Amino acid sequence: MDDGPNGAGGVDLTATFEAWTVATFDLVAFALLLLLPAHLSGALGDVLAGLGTVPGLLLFGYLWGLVAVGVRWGLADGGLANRTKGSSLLARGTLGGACVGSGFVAGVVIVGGAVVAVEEPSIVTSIALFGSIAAAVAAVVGAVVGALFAVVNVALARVSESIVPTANAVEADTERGTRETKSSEK
Amino acid sequence: MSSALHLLVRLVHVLGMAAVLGGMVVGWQTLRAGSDVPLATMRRVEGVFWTAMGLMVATGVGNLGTLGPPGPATRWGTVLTVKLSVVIGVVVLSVIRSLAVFRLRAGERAVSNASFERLRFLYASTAWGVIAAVVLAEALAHG
Repeated sequence: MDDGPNGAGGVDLTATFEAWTVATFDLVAFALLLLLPAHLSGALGDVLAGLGTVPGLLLFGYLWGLVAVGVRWGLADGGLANRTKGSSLLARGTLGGACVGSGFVAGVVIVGGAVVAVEEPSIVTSIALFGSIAAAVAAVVGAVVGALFAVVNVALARVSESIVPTANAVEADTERGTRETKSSEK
Repeated sequence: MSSALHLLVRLVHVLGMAAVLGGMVVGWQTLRAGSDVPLATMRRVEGVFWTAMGLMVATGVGNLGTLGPPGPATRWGTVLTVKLSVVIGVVVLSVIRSLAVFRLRAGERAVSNASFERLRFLYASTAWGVIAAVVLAEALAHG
């Protein structure tokens, strides 16, 4: 079995696994952090009652796909380990979040609007106007959420670095310690 | 049709739990076994773990919608609050563990035994957290 960073086809699977992990973590954490306050406020039953099982699962799957693509793009510039590009991670997280938010709402409005428009074609203009405004609002919300999760992801990556320091990090620490010892001896 | 769908949702939820718990025990025991660590297998375990976790949250919300959760002040509601809190803890622990596993490289000489011990602790903690969630889920289903 191949234990290296690359899979059988020579593709760097580690980057793929990292993007999949971060995307699913972001989605799951987001869902749980909405679910818990909704339950504690007593509003969860009403929210879920208005959403059927199949539409709910389809919406979750659609959002999962969007977040996976968004995070894959967000980490394409070196992944979470690339500390020197922290601002790039934040910018890509913000932009990716905005695209995910607007893409999610736009998809829902397009599908829902198409179903409604089949029976009442005159409503298309109203749906387009409503959809544009909703997508713009969702882009702003998505940008804020994306930026927050970019910061959280980097913080958690740093915690993971303290658990498994890389060879480079260990060598850098060793060199730093050697230099400090030498300077103190002088 | 509706009851078949709900059964399918519950089946996916239970299978997801089995995959998550099984993966954590495999990781825990793999690191316990010795120095020859199959990194590719561990990475795949992490990939399966997150796929299962996503499916479990989706189907878990579906289950809640079917059952119609009562208020948070009831006994059932309190158990659900504890379960959601445990799951959030498991998720946060897990992303730290997964990112740490992805940092491992084959033949990396500077990775110390202490790092493997810490990873093993994370696998064990996640496994026990998942077991706690299973116990709470059983209380929700039958209690």
